[in-house]
Amino acid sequence: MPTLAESFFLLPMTILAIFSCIPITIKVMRGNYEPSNQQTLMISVFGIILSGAAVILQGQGASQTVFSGALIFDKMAIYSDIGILIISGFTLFLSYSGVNSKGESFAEHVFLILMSAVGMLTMTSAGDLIVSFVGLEIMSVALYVLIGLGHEQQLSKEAAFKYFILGSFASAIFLYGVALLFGTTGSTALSTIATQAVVLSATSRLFTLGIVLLIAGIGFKVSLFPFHAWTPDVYQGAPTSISAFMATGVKLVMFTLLLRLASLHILSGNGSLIVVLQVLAVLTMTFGNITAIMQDNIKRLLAYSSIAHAGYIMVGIIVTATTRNSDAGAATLFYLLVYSVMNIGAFAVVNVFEKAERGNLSVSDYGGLGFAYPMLGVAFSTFMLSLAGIPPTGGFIGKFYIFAAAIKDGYIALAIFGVINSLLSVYYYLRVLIYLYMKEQEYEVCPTKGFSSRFVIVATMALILIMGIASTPFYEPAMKSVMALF
Amino acid sequence: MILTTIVFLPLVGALLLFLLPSDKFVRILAFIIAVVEFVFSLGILEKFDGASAQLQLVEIIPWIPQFGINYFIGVDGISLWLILLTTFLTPITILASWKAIDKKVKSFHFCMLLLETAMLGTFLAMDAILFYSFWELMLIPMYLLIGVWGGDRRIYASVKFFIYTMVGSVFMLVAIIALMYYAKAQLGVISASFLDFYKLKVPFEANNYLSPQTLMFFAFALAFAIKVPMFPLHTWLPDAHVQAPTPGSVILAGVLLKMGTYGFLRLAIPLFPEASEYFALIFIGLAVFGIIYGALVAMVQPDMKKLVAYSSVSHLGYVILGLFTFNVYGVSGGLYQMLNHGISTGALFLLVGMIYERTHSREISKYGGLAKALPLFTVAFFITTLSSIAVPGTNGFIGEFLILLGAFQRSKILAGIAVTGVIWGAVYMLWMFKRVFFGSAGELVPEIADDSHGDHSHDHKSKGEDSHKDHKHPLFDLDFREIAVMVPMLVFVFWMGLFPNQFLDKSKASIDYFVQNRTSYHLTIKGDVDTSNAIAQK
Repeated sequence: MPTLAESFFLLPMTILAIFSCIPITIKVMRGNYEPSNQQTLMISVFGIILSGAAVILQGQGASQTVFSGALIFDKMAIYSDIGILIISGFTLFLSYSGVNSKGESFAEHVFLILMSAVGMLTMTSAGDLIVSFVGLEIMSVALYVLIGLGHEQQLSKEAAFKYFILGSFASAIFLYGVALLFGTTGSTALSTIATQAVVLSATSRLFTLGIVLLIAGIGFKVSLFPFHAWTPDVYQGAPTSISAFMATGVKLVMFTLLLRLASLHILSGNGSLIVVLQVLAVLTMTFGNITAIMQDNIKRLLAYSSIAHAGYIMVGIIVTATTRNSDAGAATLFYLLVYSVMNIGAFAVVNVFEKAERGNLSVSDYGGLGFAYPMLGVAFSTFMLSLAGIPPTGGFIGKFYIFAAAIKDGYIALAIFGVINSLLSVYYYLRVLIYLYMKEQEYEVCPTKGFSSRFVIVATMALILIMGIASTPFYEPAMKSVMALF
Repeated sequence: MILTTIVFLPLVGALLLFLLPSDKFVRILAFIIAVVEFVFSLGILEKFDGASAQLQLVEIIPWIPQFGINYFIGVDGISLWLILLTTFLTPITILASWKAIDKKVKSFHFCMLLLETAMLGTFLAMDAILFYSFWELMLIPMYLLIGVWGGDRRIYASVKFFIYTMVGSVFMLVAIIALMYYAKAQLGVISASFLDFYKLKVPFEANNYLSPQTLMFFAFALAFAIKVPMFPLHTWLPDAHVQAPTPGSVILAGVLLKMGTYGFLRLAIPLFPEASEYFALIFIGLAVFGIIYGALVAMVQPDMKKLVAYSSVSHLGYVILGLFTFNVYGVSGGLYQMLNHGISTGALFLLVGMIYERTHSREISKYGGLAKALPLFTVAFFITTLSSIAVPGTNGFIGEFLILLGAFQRSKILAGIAVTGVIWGAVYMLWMFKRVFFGSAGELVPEIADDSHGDHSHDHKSKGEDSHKDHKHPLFDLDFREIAVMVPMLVFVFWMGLFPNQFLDKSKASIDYFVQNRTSYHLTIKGDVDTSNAIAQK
């Protein structure tokens, strides 16, 4: 029986859910009139801070399993939760600047973003695949609407519809996988599945099929090759703040789930499955990078780059899955954090420039902006160099941890494919720098004024440099949280 | 703390530049910082004990403790002069760019100073990951220097430079990580310190090209060979040099190329003694080929800067030849030649830059008879040419002589071929000198009334006379600033040529140790360590 004490653990989600409803309730009470976007932003950020406080409070204690194993509040969940809350906070700021410059109302955005975050928080703690699925749906349904909210653009509608259709398929596939696992193990609890995984992987094809379907469902959300095709269209069509949210928040939770499965050795029972995953990881990064080279639209470029990064993260997952290597798990978590921060930063710069001009900026539209707007130029360059994995940015340290973990356990080929891919990626990230600094301005592009996007840019840039120079405060907790899993 | 101060002073200075309002102050402040930096670096010379082969003035601060990565810097006889070369060339290039760089002045000086920090960090770093970080950090300002302030094809050249260097360094990163785990296996602690790397025995099999030591040796060697650049990986260099602005070329030739040779000396050879011994002849062969090839290609270049760029390929071939002889002559000659090349090729790029500022042309065929028009410039160019072709009494002679001496001990045939490189070097340099400075005045050169040559250029004279008198010809002799730029360089040409022991003595202990213990190279730390908790743990 769930006790009152156990409900305490739901506090972060509850707070967030309550705060997500406040602005929209106020709006309804006042006859569809919203006091001011600024107030709404303050309310929602306050909610995130409170929720974060609750998460940190939980983090003080030992790991807890509540509601008969349905929810696990261990260190990894806490680590990801903090990441999610930071991402959601940044997304709110970005959304605010986007919405504000158009004079639209903000309450709906807040509701959807925070609701999506509630879904994410549920997923990171899920100890049961059904709970995972519920979290996944809460998150995704809110996202379907968010993508379509840029309602003057046709692309936005198309993206929303595409993501909705394909996302529903993916959810169904995920659920089918859960059903097969339930059929073979008699349970949807991760702990039960984990105890039978080794035996069943060898004996039951249905079980392996279930795992494959599960991975396919997750692979869709993290845009793993060959489930990636929706990514560029959706990132391009969605409002930029939401693209940032999807590229970071969704990947963070889905990979956390995958990491949890990997650490329980649910994935590694079948040797050929691991081979397939390795091939997929290499294909993902290679495909993402090669296609990104050909992109001219900056949001599509970032979309393909995010596909490539999913490949690097998969390397960490694979190494975690096959070995009891806490380095790999910690590297994966750390990389997810770095990846989220630098991607949000990059999207934030796009956000600032995008609103001023026509809807979508191509890379060539950034000509000469580096010198015209030095701070934005430096920030964008930092994010690009970090994505390319060049020191002294967090992106380098993140890749270093991942490849170090891979080499440690003898996955030298994966590491070499990884570094060759970083090399490929340098080409298109540098292209952005070429336009920023080495080309002339083609026409007047002026960034939107306003505090919120700039706050995100400065914060993410500072974080990226701190993670590059002093990574230990971020890596240590990741290490501790992964150690606790084994 | 002296080394840390030296590494980060330019960076702090670079950030200070952004507080200044006008370009003039930016130039002055950047120059002052660079000079102060040079004075500080003389402090290293003061404190450095040349009799010891150990690592000195060491500072260690834990950086990423869980991987045994420290902020670990120190200096020994190998890096000492390269550091001084860097701090010496930077103020000179800043002074040389006073007029040449007229757009985005603040960003330019920011890049220069950031580059200085990165270069010094690379030379001083004694931790592989720190080394790698500075190594990569160096790319960004250099990339911008070429790409923003460079010539017409600057974007192509800068991207090529960046990608080439990255190709080498990513494999080096994999090898570094692998070495870190070797350290864990063999020493019990994971470590990225060079000193720990030296202790490792990486398995080597003579005929197995996939043995760990061979693979790792080539991973490092690729990174360094691209940077040097060795034939056939040199193709980025002419592009980068020709497109880079003068200060960029000077730093690129003067210091950045030394990163590669320094890397061989510091890492590739002592870390993998068997593999480097086994493949030494390949490197010597490529080096000798590079010497001849660079010289021959330089000979046919119509563009002065490109000629100097190819001469770098040739000169750096000597350095590699010297290092892979593995004897005292060769290695100390190689080290000395690194410095010489920094001085003489740096000076050549400065001079070519000066003439380019005046006429905006580097084409040899458009010049001729400069000797009369620009006497001071001619003297400076002549001395530099002598240094470049290694005439006794200049610095170039000492370096090449030592290298060839070492090479003869190693392989008489290859050394014999390498010697002809000296002749080819004289051919292309003197031929260029003749075409540019002597003979009848080229289309860009003003006529000087002179009896002995009056008949020769009578036609030109009458044509050009009016304009010549009316307004100042763009070609004028060195002004005070340019003299100030050139004098230190020329002083060192003779100083290093006449008193080589003043320089070599400081490095002698390190080189002797390197040569004698190449197969069991164990660098140790001299004296006390600043904040030594990291080492104490081991």
